[in-house]
Amino acid sequence: MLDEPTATLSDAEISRVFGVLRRLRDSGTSLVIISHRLDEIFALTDRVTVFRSGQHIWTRATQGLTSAELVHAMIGRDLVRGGHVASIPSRLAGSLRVRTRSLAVPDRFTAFDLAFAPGQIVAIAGQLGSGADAFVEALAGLHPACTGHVELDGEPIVLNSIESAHAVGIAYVPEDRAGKGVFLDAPIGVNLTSHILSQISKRGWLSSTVDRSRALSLATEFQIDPARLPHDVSTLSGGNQQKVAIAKAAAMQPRVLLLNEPTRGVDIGARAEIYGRLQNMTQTGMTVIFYSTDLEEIMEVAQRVVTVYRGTVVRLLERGETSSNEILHDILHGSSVPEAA
Amino acid sequence: MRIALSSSTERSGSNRSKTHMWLRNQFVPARVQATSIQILCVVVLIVAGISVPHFASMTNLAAIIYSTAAIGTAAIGLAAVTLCGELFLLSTGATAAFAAIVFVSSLGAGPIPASMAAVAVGLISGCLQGVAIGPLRCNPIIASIAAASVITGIASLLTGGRTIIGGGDASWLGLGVLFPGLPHQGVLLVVATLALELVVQRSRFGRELRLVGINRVAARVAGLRTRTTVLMGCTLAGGAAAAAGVLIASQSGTANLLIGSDLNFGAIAAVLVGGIGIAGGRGRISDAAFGALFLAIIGNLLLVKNLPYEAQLAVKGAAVLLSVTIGAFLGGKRR
Amino acid sequence: MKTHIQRTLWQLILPAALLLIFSFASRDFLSSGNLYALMQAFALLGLATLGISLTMIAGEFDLSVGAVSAVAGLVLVKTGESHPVCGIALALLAGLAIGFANGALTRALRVSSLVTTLGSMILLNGLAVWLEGGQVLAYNNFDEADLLDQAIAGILSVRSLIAFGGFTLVALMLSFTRIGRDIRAIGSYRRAAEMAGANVSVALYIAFMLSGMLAALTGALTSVSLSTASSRFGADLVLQAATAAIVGGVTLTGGVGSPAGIACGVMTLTILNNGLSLLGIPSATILLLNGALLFVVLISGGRRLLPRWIATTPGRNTRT
Repeated sequence: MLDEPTATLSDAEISRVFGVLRRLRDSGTSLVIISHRLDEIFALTDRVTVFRSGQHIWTRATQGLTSAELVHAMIGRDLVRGGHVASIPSRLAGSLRVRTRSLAVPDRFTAFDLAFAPGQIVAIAGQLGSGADAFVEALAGLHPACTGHVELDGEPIVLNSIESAHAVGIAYVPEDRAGKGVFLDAPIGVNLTSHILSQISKRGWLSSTVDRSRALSLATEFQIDPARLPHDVSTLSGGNQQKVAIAKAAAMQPRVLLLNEPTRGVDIGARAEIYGRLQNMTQTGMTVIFYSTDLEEIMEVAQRVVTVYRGTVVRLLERGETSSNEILHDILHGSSVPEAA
Repeated sequence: MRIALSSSTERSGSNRSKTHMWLRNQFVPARVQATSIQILCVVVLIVAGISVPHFASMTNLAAIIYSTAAIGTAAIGLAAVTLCGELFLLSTGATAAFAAIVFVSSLGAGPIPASMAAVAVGLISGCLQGVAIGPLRCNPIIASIAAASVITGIASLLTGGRTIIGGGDASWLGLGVLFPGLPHQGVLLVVATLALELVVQRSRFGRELRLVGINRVAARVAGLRTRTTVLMGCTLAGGAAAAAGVLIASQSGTANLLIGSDLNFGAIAAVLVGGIGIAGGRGRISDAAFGALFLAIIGNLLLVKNLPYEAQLAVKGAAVLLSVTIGAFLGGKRR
Repeated sequence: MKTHIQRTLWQLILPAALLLIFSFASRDFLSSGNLYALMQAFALLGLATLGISLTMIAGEFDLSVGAVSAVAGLVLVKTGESHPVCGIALALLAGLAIGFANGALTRALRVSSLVTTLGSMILLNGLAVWLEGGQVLAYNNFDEADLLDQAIAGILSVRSLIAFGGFTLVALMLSFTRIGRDIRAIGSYRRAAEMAGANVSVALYIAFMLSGMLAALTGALTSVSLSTASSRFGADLVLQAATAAIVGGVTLTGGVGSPAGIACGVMTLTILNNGLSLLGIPSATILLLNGALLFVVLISGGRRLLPRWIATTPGRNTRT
């Protein structure tokens, strides 16, 4: 059984893996492959089973199946536009918040030339291993080896560490909330103020009044029960933990908020609250850039979508001009010409 | 928001629930071991005082306090290292011995300057180890074993293995008592514990120390100064170990390489028994002091009952393993 | 990608260089008497280092090797005066049992072995003091000492042959048996090893038991030669074994290390200490230099292995 066997492989390595798999199949081994890659599915398999949202959609022979049918099964109908997108406040339109030129991380992605406005919510869409997540991480300062230029509000910045990103007002919410996003064994209140210790302390001593009031205001903003502030984050549900993770980064009032899989493993209710919060935060001009493999989420929240395939940008899609079909096509195939049915 | 009109009954009710809350908080899984040790200290003291002859004499109580003072001082510094997730330093004994030698050698200038010199040496020792452990991410136990060997070697070169006899008077520190049964050293330990506890609970550094211990990776994401924090923790531990050495040396006015040979295991046992979690982030500085007190009481009891030295070692080793087991059990075996 | 042979050749450079330097620095260095002493020291440190390295390769660390060697020596002296084979067997058995206990504690408590072996080290210290009973113990079986230490071909002895045998057996185990591969696997990436079917428990137990047994062997051989045992023996063993192991290419993060490299590391340290002592440097200073060497090696290794935090690290406490 293989789970995304070629997610992070180069072309040469992929063909070697295909060879091994075919030999195994010929010698009688049965193979079950979990994959999103259409070319892989069509090249290797005899039968395809599609799951979506926990439901089995169908199982068919690969022979005779078209990619259009497969894609349609994977995402269902096109989604109705969600109510979470507002337009950019007019006073902010026209200025650039983030601008990258030839930004690249060796072995992950090359030469991204992108620009985002203040108050914009941008999704970077791509499969695992496409480099889309690495782009978000690079902006957060997690890839000191990155090359190229980044400008924030017109000023060039250096992103060689998390500290350097923090210093210019870039906050990051990682994908693994239990492992990296929150302090599970610390109280919620302590978590909420963990990014802004300099603001809640004076000459090295914590001011408990400021600590408490900031924590309280963040909790109210993010709809976290204030009575639970002294309790450890580990007592919260996944969705509420994620709210804490986002809230503590937002506490910095950053110019750019970066998120890696913002609502992975989060229930519907908390998702709606998070989307609403992200929306509200952009009203003050905060730019939100997130990486996601969840097409529904991208369609619901993002005003602009950057699709990435195998380390290069495929397209920039604006809300209202795109469908999830197109996004999926880009991240699975990479070409910007829609495949003939 | 309701406006609470507090009548006298309502007010006393809320007071009662506050104490109730405080009491309950002492027994949550994260605090139960620490609280138990504190209770046990009182219980054992009382029971032993009643049932064991000579236990409650002023001299014996003072002996317990002297024993607690040295190990407790080293332990509260070591606790800073444990709290930030770096396990332990095994150089506590070596630093104490070296500091004791420095203290005794400079005693001619007066006990206060000599103490300061000794503590400075300890801070430097801790700082150098901290550089390796914090910014350079070396394994703390191996690094401290290496450091201990270097420190002992330097001390050996300086003293030629002989005992140094001091040329001044440190009797206030070493032998002075506030009143019979309460040596100055005990008071100093209490003051030091309170001061360090305040720093860890209320300062920005203390908050960072704890968060780094809870999850170092999340601390980096939050932009905390993880490397500096660990460095500072190790420096503190070095200074505390040195202070312990000063306390020991002041009792006799002499110092040699054997000082502090108990401190390594004693301080670690005190930290663990007191309820500070080995994974980091859990526990308070005062826990280490209570752990030292508890072990001192037990050790004293063993002595009074004429049990040999190896029994003490066995008890310490067993205490370490038992505390770790309990900690693992309570913490849900989070690795 | 260097082959195994190439890597070993590189690792031989350091001890060879030291050999050269000391043979020029001291006339007596290359005498058969000194070379014999060198091999004797190599044998003792080598066995202990081999043991501790196995736990390091498995991603753990056995802090109790020094204490085990002291206890083993005491067991031998107390039980084996008239029945030397019995005594040695009991000592080795004690080592195996302690290793088993270490493995069990580490596995059951799921905490870092640094902590569990620290606890057992303290306990064993107490046990050693108890066994000693406050006396200086004498082991009067000089025939056995002669047997083990008599010079063969001028510079070897039964003791050094035992050490060579140990290295060979461990090398064969690591390369050709399933347990050996499992030990490496659980050190490299424990979760992946578990999913690939490695028997983590068995590998851990074997690593710790071998470490205990080899440490016990070290203690037994020491006590036979010196005709005495003491709770203070083995105090520097962890320091020197760890230094030799890391110099010999064994990493603290696990999964890496070979007996050939370990032998080179032990050789380096033994030659260094022997040469320095021949030059009249006092033993405390030699220990100082060992500590400094360990520090340097730790620091230089540490920076290269600085974990980039976005990579999932297998276990919090497996680190440099």
